[in-house]
Amino acid sequence: MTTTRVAIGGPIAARNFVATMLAAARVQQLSWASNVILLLRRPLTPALGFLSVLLAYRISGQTAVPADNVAGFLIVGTLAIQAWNATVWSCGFALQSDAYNGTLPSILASPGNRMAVVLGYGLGDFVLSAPAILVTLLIGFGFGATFDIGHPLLALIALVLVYVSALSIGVACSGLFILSRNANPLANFLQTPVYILAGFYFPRSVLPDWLEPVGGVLPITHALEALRASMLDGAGWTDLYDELIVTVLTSTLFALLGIWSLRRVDHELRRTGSLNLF
Amino acid sequence: MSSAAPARSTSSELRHLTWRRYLAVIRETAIMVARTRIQGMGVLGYALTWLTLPLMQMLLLAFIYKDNRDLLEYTVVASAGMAILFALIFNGGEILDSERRRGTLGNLFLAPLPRYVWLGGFQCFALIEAVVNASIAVAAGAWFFDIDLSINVLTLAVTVMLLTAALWGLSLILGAFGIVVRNANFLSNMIFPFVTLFAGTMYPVSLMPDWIRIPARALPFSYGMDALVAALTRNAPVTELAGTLLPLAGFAIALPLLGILMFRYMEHAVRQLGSLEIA
Repeated sequence: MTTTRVAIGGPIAARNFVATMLAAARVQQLSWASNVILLLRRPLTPALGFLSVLLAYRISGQTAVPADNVAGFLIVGTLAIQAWNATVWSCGFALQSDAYNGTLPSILASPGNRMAVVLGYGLGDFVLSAPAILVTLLIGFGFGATFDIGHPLLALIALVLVYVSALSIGVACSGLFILSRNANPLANFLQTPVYILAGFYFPRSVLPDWLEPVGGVLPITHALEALRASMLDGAGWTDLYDELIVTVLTSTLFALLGIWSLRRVDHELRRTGSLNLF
Repeated sequence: MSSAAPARSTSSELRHLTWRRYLAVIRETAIMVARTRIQGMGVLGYALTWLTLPLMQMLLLAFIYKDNRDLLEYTVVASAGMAILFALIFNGGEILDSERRRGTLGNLFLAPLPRYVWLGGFQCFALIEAVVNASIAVAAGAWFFDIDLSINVLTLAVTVMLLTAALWGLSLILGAFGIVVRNANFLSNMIFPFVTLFAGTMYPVSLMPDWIRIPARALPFSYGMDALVAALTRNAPVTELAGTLLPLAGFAIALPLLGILMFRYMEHAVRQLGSLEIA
């Protein structure tokens, strides 16, 4: 009897999970598509951020960071920022925006998997960010970015891992965001420290010795270093083996932490029957 | 004649009473916003999320400018400008959005008060937060990076006053647009990167290429940043900065007027339609 239930329930549960995730992705896409400002903002924000920092480097007379050309270095960092925006803001902010919209109780009361909803929001944003990646690359070429890609597949995998690692941080934060009831400022607060620690705009080697290892805890740090090496220095599989493994391991840890915290929050919400946990 | 005097007196007393009532509403609105924000996150959460933003921005730039003392000094002072810009541009929209989410925005429009009274309360809180943020950012930056400040208090006060007035006007314009597009925060988020590019919060506008410098001079921020830097690091008197403060004063008059007109137009549309969904 138990065997039969697992045999039938497994695929059905998986199908439900995927269906919920795709539905949430569609909701996320529709909510963006319904607002012109959001659609415009998506490619504009990282592109303008790239320009601002590029100008800061140029007026300080720096043309290489540390050995790569500044524009190329920053373009890769900007791609990571897009991944961060697409995942942490959508995933971490996901259930919080449902709280704003008044749909959180329905989501929590539904038999669907909460993690599927969170991942679905992230997936929806990932698809929406595709044109923004193109815009960023075009602007980079326009401002003199040069790339040295030895293994295109490796660069693509590194880019996907940047998104996966950012997604894992977003998932890890989502429980905290619900608890804080202030996801927007909290996500704002997290943003710049992560930019600094992970080396989005400058190499981690410029950080003080005591601060550099802190960035190593974040999966996106390793994914970004792998992406930079594969896009700017023509690095191969053997060069990046360690970075890729560490990215996968730390991403898994963050994702597990997120799953655990969301379950805890979900349990407490159901137990207390209230969204106000503190 | 004898009956006119008491009437004038009563009218003057009523006006006086009304102003006192307005000031009380501004004060209470500001306190309400502060309480909502601080109680919602706790003091530590509030301090971490709202008071560290300009500090973080400053740190980010400090690592880029680590070998350039002049630019590092500029960044520390410009972080105060960033704090003021951020607080005034985001707060108005953020608070209007929260009222909309809570369903109380419509009630605010129906309240028997000029809109600028409760909006003034929102902005009063934003201004206090901006000044606190800016002071923390400059003090911390000067301490971290051992930067000598040479402050001209009068110039600083005039600059902050003019910059605040100009940004208050801008936040009214954004607030009016934000109600039309139903999310002022999205709008603030969209224009903020443009503001950062042209405001001189990351670098002196005078060192920028023409395609940044020329449009930047058509906006109030770069004048405000130049004046802030001069007031905080060079002890520059007001007279020396006339060329910077006069255009800023122009913006401090024009933008609030434009903002009031736009908000009034938007409010008229809301009342005519009987709905906040005017677009």
